[in-house]
Amino acid sequence: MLQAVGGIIAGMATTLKYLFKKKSTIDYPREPYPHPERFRGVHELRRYDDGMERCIGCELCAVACPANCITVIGAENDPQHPTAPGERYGYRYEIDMLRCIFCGYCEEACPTDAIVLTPRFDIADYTRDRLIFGKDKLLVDDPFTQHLANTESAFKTEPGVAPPPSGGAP
Amino acid sequence: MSADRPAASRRMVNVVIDGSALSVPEGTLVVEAAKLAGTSVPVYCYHPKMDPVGLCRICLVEIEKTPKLQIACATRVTEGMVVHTSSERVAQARNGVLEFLLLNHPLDCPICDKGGECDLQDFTMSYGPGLSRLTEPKLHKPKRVDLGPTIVLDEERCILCRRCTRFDDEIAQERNLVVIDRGHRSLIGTSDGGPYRSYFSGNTTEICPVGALTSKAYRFRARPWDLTHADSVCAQCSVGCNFRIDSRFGRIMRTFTRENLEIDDGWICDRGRYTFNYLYEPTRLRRPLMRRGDDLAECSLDDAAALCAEKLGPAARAGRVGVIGGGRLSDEEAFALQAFARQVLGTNNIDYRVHLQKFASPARFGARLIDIDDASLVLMFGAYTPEQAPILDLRLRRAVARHHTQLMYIGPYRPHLPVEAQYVEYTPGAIADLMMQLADTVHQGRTESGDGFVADIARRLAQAEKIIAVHNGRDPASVSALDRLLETLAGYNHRVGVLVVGSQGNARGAEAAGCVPNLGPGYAPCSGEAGMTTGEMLKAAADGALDALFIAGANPALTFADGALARRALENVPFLAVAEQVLTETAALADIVFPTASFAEKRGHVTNLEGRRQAFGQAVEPPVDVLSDAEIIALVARAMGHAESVSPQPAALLAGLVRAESAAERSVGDLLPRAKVDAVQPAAVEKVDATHRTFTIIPVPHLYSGGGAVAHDPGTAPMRPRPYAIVNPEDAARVGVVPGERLTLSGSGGSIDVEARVGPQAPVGVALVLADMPEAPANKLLDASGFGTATISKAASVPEQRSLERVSA
Repeated sequence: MLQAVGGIIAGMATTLKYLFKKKSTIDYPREPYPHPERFRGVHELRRYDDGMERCIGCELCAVACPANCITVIGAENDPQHPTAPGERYGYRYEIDMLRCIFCGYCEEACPTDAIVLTPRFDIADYTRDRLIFGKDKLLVDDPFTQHLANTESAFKTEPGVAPPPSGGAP
Repeated sequence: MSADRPAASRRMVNVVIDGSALSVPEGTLVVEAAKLAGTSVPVYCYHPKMDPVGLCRICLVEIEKTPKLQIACATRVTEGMVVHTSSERVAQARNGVLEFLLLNHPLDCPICDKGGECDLQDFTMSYGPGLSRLTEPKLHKPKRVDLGPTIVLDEERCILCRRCTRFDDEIAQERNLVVIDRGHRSLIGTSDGGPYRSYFSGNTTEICPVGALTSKAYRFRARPWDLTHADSVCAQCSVGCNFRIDSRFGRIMRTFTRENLEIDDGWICDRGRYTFNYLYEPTRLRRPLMRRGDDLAECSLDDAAALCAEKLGPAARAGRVGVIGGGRLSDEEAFALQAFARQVLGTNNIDYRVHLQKFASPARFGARLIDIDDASLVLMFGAYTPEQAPILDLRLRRAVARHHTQLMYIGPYRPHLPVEAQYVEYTPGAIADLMMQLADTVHQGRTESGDGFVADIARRLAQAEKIIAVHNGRDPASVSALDRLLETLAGYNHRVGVLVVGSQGNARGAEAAGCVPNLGPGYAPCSGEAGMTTGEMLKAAADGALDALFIAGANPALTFADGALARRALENVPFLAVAEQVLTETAALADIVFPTASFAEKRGHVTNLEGRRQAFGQAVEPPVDVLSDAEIIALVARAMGHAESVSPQPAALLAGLVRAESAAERSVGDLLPRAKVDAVQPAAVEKVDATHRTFTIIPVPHLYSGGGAVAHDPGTAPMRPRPYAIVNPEDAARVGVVPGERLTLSGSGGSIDVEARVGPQAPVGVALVLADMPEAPANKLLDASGFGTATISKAASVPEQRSLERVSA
């Protein structure tokens, strides 16, 4: 009998102790999730400072992808109105977010730092179709609002390194 | 490989390569011996089909008792040679060579079409330096250089191995592609500064070891590892080159050679390589069409089959039905087509011949393509291989250049041949006579004594050890006379052979499968009376004696010799069903059009001109409502209540064909008992009165002519010629023809507008008119003999922009 009462008191003491401690849960979604700096969430296709797309459609991300969730179709740039520097650009770029394991290999493989993983993770949706992200959802509109644009990061390319539109040729 | 090199004699020498001893023929190159020893030596400039040049130095190997490293691609083995291909010195040398090659290489591998299958990439990974020591800026050269209608050149990527220029020189023998300038300023360009136009240009993109030469059709479309491969056989002409179809997401991206030394020798022509994008054009037929008044409206497959059955049934019962086609189908489908005609429609009115060709297989002395290699004399008449069978012509060019084969061209005009040839100008109707005269001269041993050019040719024939005749099976009389000549020569211990260049890709397969009025599958005489030939069917249809025509894989409105008759027949026949891939001139006149699958969208076999039956695989799926010809034929047969007569399955059809062939004890490679032919003989071309504006019309072939797939393909559009007529300079001066102006040629069947060209290849009184052009169908001017007459006048309309193509004078 005494033993049982002792147990209850001990339990209540623990409860009391945690009542005054800082809460480990957050009031999601009203409160933002505090992600680590190098959290790997939804991808973003970046642009150079001059607005050119970084992606050159080389498909190295698709090769590196262990989940085989990236589909890239390249095409030739219109020399007068290039989409990306150089001769080739990513005409279509799709990531199947349901299949992606967010390993970040695509980011590592990318020769132009075009694809980066952002901290965003809340992409739940009701259909599978809407979770295949194309360029419409991945490509940022403004190079100065893109992820890593204003942070000190090992991944960030210095401003002004955008190659000339002719792809390096004079 | 070493068959081309007389240096490779029979004597064997012993060599040791990387510790393994082997015995190879004397004169073998070290690089080839290393291959036999199972060691790979990296190469760029070396190519097994071309003479060694020793330009790139990547193949340096160590040979004992030789102080300096030697290049394996140009050093021949000697007795007791000891070679090290992977020693420290060799590794150091390769590393150094690669560092030099990479000095000014742009390293744009991520966007390079070759990335993933690039020798420079692979060897750098295997043997090259990991880092560059170059601190100065790289040399920049022009990128995206438009080299011609098919090729884009990236000068920065070029490592100057000269494989492309040597291909153009040694293999194609056109000598247009050259290296311009010297040293680090060297560029690839054309000798005349114009575009690089060649029927073999696509091969240069394949042999380029880096991504310098890229094809416009494939540029930035896919990366090599994306592609799904399907082994296929080209059906554009009767040579039957082996190639591979590379597709991605169910769409053809490119085609690639698949070396078959006995057929294509590892090359394919540009028509075969680039004619596939028409499949994705809006002009490709994707739904069945049914005639509603003057228009063709889309309908369902079942409706189309039902209407077909409804119309063909009564026509078949009345015996007033005909079937044309087969030369563009697979062997299985040709077999299905003849089974449909004979068993379902109950008629022998079936014929594959819609061009001038009368036979696809020789009756005697069948030859192989490799027989050209060591022929002493090639006798060509009727056929014009540079346009009709380019890869056969490549073999011929090599034989003439390397083995001193003589080429003799007998024909009514003097076409441009890329190699040295003897021309014998002879009117088509008289070629049979010439053959008979030659046979007599040879037979009577009058080759030494006689004079005149008949004796001259006979002397050449008598001196030739091996004679291969190449013709187009068009004129039965001259073919019989040729057989007689060859028989005489064979009697004097000459080796002889015949190759018949087909007008359609699978002409020989269709003939063997029984698409002829008097012969069934396996060349067995068919039961019952022989049916009508194409000419007779068209005549009967024009006269109202046929109620229905079923045409599969043929375009007689454009290709049949007597174009006026063909058009009248197709317009007059009460019911016309056509199976086609695009809306051809024939399909446009049809009551029902079935959309059919292309060669990439089905599987089966095709037979080439030497009688070799080759399998081709399916590369991509056809669109939903598009069936293969066999499936269409089976669908119509089922709608007619004969489901058991024709199977839609290639395997079942092939089994049926092989069964029929073994019952007839003949197979496809065998020689043919003569098929029934139209009674028309080629008329002697009359030399008309010099004061007239009337000319004899001789149709001339072009690789890119035709009204089907090639007319609707964006890939081959830049290479397509504009319709032209060539007249002799003498005639041009006489009737006032200026090169480049528009002419109207008016003949019995109508008139066509063409561009005027002037050239000595046209004899006086003759106009050479480009055949099979939908814009200006030359067959409007011709009669059943394949020749015609027309009056030349200046075109009334304002001339369009002038063609950029150089006048082939």
